[in-house]
Amino acid sequence: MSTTARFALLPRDGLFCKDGRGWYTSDVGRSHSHPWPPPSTIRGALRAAWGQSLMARSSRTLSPAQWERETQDVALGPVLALLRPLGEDFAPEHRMWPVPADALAVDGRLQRLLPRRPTRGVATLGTEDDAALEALWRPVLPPGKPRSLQPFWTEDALSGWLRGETPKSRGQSGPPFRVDVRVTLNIDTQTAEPGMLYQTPILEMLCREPLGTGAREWALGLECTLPADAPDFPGGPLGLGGKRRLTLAERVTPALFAAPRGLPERSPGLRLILATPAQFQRGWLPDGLERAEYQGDPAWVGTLPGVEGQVVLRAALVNRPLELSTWDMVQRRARATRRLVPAGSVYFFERVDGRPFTALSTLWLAPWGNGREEGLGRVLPGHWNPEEMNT
Amino acid sequence: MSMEIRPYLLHALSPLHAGTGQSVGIIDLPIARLRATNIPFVPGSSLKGVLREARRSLPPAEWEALFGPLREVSGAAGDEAREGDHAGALVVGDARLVALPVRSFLGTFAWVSSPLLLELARRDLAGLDGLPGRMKRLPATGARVGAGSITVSPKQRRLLLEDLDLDAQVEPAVDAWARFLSRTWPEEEEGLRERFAVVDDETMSFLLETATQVETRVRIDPDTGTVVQGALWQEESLPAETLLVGVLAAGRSLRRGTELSATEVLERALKGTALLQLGGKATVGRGRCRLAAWPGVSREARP
Repeated sequence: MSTTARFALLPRDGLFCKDGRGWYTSDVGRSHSHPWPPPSTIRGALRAAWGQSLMARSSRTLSPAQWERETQDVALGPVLALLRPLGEDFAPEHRMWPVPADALAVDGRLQRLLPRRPTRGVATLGTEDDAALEALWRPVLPPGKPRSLQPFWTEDALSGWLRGETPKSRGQSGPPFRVDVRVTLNIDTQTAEPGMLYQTPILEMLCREPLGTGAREWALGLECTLPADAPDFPGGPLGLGGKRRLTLAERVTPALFAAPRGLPERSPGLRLILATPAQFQRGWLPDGLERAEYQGDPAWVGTLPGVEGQVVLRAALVNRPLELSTWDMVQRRARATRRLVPAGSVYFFERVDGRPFTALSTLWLAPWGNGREEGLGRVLPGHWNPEEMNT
Repeated sequence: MSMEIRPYLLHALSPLHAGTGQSVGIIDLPIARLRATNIPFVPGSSLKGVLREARRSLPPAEWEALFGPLREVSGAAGDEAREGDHAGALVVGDARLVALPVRSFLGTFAWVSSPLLLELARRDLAGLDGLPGRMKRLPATGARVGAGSITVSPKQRRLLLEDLDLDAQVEPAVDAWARFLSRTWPEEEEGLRERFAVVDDETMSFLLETATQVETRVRIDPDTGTVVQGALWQEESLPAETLLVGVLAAGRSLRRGTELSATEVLERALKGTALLQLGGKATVGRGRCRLAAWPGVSREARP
């Protein structure tokens, strides 16, 4: 019997999510952190907490192999970034989303990047040896120098974007980093041990409100499946990220994960934005699509989970890959590094039969690709009109 | 239950310099602060190192179960996995400021806190008996004090902090907070109660910058009796009497052959911690602190 738990994680002392670069790869004693914790880190923390609770209940010590076996059914569902004024209960308006890759800021205002059919003689998307890749639609960039966008969008901004509206704000900066310097002291000399002075970037989750009026805090909202009924889980703090920094848990309601009102019921094309990083078998190319011919051109055609009928991939706006390195606690060594499609990447689809997509809200935070138990590949469905730039 | 948790009060008995090891400002050796809010804190890693040394008297196996095995080799070679490696059962959180002693025209000094600092402390203390309710934010610049405060002028009801002149109102919650904090420190209850004050968050932000202790130090050349070239520096400390709140958490021992429950881990970690030497500059008297957990029933799980 399994059970579903929903809670928000509030890192008390900030977060340190070390990426794959070791302490000794570049500057000695300097580590590097992910700007936002990958879902795999969160699942690791949940598994550790579940293992600890099993040990506490049974008064036995699990071996690493037992730990691996007895916690593998702890699965992570959707993971949300949350930002709320201190003291308020979590609500959907506190959700923060990764900035979509089809947004561009030029001349101080946001614009939607609209893919359109390729014309002959334009620059290629790759090495020009992949006809299906070359046949993908691509957006026309407006004149002017694009400015970097803030990494997060508010709930309002994203809801409007999914409907095809453009928000006024360029977004919200993420939580800031501070640098903690640490040292190991030699107890005989009370001086620093050679080679043991090191620094860690810490993601701070508490921010001051503008104008100094109170504070706001970042948090991680998550839904997880546990292998047994455990209504009080986690029932205490968790250690999250590097150095097992204490993280408090707070119960949240299912409404926090529900689709926003106002999602369009029908759309001629479908735009899927990744809310969390995704793992596909063939890199950036979503699973379930195969090379075929569509309307006389090479294309990727196939099916998508939760979508009726066959679809054709029209465009893909994909950010740089997220290199994810994780640690195997049983083997006590690093697992092979995975390359994930980062959150915020956007895919555009049409239906092969030419009919519109319906019931977009059923795709809200649906899983896509591999690593579903790790919370990877959750999507946000948006409206797209393929003819908007092609008429 | 994943981990058992026990909050503690850290009381600076002498100025406390928990530094950052780096500076970009005019103070050469600033104290550690949260970057986004500027709240001073003592890193948990600092406290864990001190506890590790303070508890050397434990049997070696228990000591290692609590704090984790020490690296045998410094540098990259020490990262290699070893047989029997395990994490320590004790997790030490950062200690965060809850009240700062600030010079007061009346009563010598006041222990000054703010609704934000108290709200953060409330989370750490949640589940403890008698925890006061949420302190509402002050709508404007001002202060709240307990009945019988010796830091306000009886007639004008004003709190005079350094060069700040604040209207003060009597608020029972301030009294409740002072009594609650002093449960770790019963002999000083009256002193804390009559000096405890809560100011608005904006005023507290100002005090976080201006009410710390900054000292200029020099090194003298013994031959000339003058300052050594370049040996003049400023260092910042949290003043004596500063109060911070932190959290210790523990799970079961993960060391093979050493069975300790989370409660036993916490009891061993906290035993004999009445006086600790924390932070830097110990040879010039910095960092003498008192660490005490709240007595009575400790929380077993968060609501």
